[in-house]
Amino acid sequence: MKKTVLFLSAILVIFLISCGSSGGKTIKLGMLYNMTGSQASLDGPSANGAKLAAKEINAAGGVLGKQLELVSYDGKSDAETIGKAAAQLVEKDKVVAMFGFSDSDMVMAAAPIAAKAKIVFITSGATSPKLPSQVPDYLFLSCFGDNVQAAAAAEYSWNTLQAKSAYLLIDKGMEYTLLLGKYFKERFTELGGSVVLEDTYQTGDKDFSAQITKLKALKPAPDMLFISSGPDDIGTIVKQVRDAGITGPIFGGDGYDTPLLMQIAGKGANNVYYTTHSLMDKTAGSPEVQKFIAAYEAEYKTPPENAFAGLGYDTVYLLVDAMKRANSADPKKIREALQTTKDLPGVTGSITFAPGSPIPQKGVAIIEIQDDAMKLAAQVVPEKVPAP
Amino acid sequence: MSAGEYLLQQILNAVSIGSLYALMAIGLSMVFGILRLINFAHGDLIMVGSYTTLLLLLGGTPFVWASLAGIAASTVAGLLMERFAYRPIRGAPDVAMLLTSFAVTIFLENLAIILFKATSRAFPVPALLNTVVSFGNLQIASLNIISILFTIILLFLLTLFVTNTETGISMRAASQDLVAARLMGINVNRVIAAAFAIGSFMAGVVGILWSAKVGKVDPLMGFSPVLKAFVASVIGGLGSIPSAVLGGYILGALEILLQGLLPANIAPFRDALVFLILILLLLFRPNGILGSAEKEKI
Amino acid sequence: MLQLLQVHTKYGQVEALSGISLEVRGSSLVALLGANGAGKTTTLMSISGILKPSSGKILFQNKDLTQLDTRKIVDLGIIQCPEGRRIFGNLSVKENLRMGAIRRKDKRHLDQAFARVFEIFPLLKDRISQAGATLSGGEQQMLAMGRALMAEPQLLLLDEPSLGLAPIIVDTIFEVIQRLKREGVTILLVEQNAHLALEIADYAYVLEKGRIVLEGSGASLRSNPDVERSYLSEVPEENL
Repeated sequence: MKKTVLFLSAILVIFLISCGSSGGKTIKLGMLYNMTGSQASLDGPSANGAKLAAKEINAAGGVLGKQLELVSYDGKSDAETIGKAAAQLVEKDKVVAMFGFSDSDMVMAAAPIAAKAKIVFITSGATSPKLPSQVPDYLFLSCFGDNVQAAAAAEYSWNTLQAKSAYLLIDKGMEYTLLLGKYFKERFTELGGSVVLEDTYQTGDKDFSAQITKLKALKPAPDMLFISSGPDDIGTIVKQVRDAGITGPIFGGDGYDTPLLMQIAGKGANNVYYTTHSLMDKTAGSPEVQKFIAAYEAEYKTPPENAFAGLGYDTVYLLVDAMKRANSADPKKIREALQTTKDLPGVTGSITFAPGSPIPQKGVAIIEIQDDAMKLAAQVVPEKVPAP
Repeated sequence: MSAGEYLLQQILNAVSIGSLYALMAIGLSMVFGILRLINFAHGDLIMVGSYTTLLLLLGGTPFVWASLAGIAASTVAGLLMERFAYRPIRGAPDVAMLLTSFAVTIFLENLAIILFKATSRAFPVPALLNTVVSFGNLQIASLNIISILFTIILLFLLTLFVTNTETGISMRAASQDLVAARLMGINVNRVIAAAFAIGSFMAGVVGILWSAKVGKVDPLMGFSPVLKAFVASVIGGLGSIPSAVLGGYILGALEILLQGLLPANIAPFRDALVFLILILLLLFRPNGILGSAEKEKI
Repeated sequence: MLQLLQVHTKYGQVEALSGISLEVRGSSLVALLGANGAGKTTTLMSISGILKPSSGKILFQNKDLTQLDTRKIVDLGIIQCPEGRRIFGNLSVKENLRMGAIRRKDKRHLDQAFARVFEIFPLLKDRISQAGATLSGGEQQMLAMGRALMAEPQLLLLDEPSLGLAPIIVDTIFEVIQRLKREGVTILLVEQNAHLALEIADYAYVLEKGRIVLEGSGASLRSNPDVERSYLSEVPEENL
């Protein structure tokens, strides 16, 4: 008798498990992040944040009476792999929306494929304000645009750091770094600052001695360095700049928001500033941030590595909010509801889409590293933002 | 900083990075000289050595010992590579050997991803390696001085080895004419193993210096150095030690001086210019600067 | 001293030797003649163990060489001076000679070996620290032979020593070959200059398409009209 019960319950369990994964009962969202390659230090935390959000939502009963299912593939920081994965999500997995990535080149490998299938793609961390015009109607950002963060950086440098002259080093290999540098220069010179030298490097360069020597030869030395770099190179650059004896402030964008910066540059990371989406700090952060950090730590046994964890988390809630308001998981209705998102609170600030704009109006967190610790230097909304 | 001092500083930068390219190119070139094999997995020896060093450092081993162990690990990995990947297919067509070297690369890199995860990890550097030493107006990073010093010492020892020891002379003989070397009774297995051991040892040294310069390690970190070493070897002329060294320093000088001296609006095309110069060079000297026309061999 | 019994050797897919049998007696000079591609160099490379016969036996003092590594064959005293000289061009004359003696266990007697080579080829002594590649063709041939002599061969395999050399140098080389023979070195000589070879050979074999088609004493072959007609070709055998 006992054996029969055990047998039947085993069958029941198998039945339930197979039900759970067989389409109808779940709402599928496509999640694309690079778990390997140059983007991994931003995308890994983003994916963890998104999974945590999905888990919370499912534990609270799911959406529209169904469980949420994240179907994910590793983009491997490679456009071809990403394209294939996006096609897979559309054709085989039949997801109702997609999200992911922290770099515009990566987004552009996937978003057009989603748009073709009339599915929205929300990028959690790619900050190019030019993105939405490249994939009209179907590409949304859940983060601020680079023009916003660059303007915030320029205004903070001019007003608070009192920098009158800046040296620019730009990675010419990424759209993100090119735009960020351009917007910074635009706003900084508009305020009255001067760019004394604009130098470049190529993504993945390991030796910056030629640029650094050129920088050291500048007379008088610039008040600050604005280094527009991705997450994989910035640690090395800051290390080599500091090793050469240059101690002035270094400023940059959210590409700096990786634990590698402080790990690689060590003491050299002091006097580095960067703009990002929020400070992941247990005590200094907002109530949403503190709650998020606690949940993240419980789930992954480590505090959130950077703000990108929060962006992934917020993006899932953004999609779920749209589905709830639309009362539907139909891709078309999701898109319409998304556009009318208003004051949705999140770990990285509240999200509101102005009519016709797929880029949310969000504040910028300015992080300052001093005494081997990160702290929130300011939370700003720039006065004036360069056009995309 | 006067114009002269500026130039001198850039030349020092060039010599420093050129030293690392040269040490890498030697290993690549020695193996090519004997086996006609472009061992792309040579870069992964850097990774093996650096990760070994890193793990020991994290375990509390002093830097010097951890580095020595890392260099030893590179050397052993190079020998294992030769014994188990290349010796069984020796004499196979060049393309088969090249493909094998890609296979070894993929194997080692994926093994490292499984063992250590794909993300970068910081490489802790002792203070001695990241201070600045001043000579008048010139400021030189201590790491650069150490890189240049190590290269000089290693080149000196290597020169002694290949001109004064029987194995060293045999190595040069074998890279000249493998069949004639065998006819003399030269132990080809030993000579090839020695070439791998020396090249891998140098890759180990480069691994430490490179990681200290970049400040981090990752499973794919060997790709960039092996590519540079390959370009350097081609510039100098594949197959001999002096040409590898010359090629390494030329590549370093091209990169640094183009970046440092070109106006800011042209400097972004540095890599394109380096390759343009390479193409021009190969048009006029197809076998590299020091290379000579090759005879067909068995 | 050396016996080849029904040796078959493939070179790539082609059978270059189709059952060769020959004998070299101790202290004799045996010549191996034949046209291009007849299999002369393949025969020497098979004896030296660079090419492995697919069947047949190669006996040296009744020991089978076919399964031995080239190094072991060198240790037995069988030294080849290959066609086209194949000296190490980047190595100095001294280093080239040193490579010739690499398998010698009695390194203490190396000075004597050097002295002997310099006595036979005094020119080499003047060029001792010059790179091999800078020598003239004749000097390179001397270096190649000197390199082989450094091992103090029991059996010297000489492949085309006169190839591409001026007549006056050829005379010098052949004088040395005769002297070595007088000193008791057994020699197997491959030579495209049949006249010259037959003049000094005790015995000779003629190869054609991987088979032995003629054999006899040097004197008897010299008067054979077939030999006269067929093997006065000046065209060198293609490089191996």
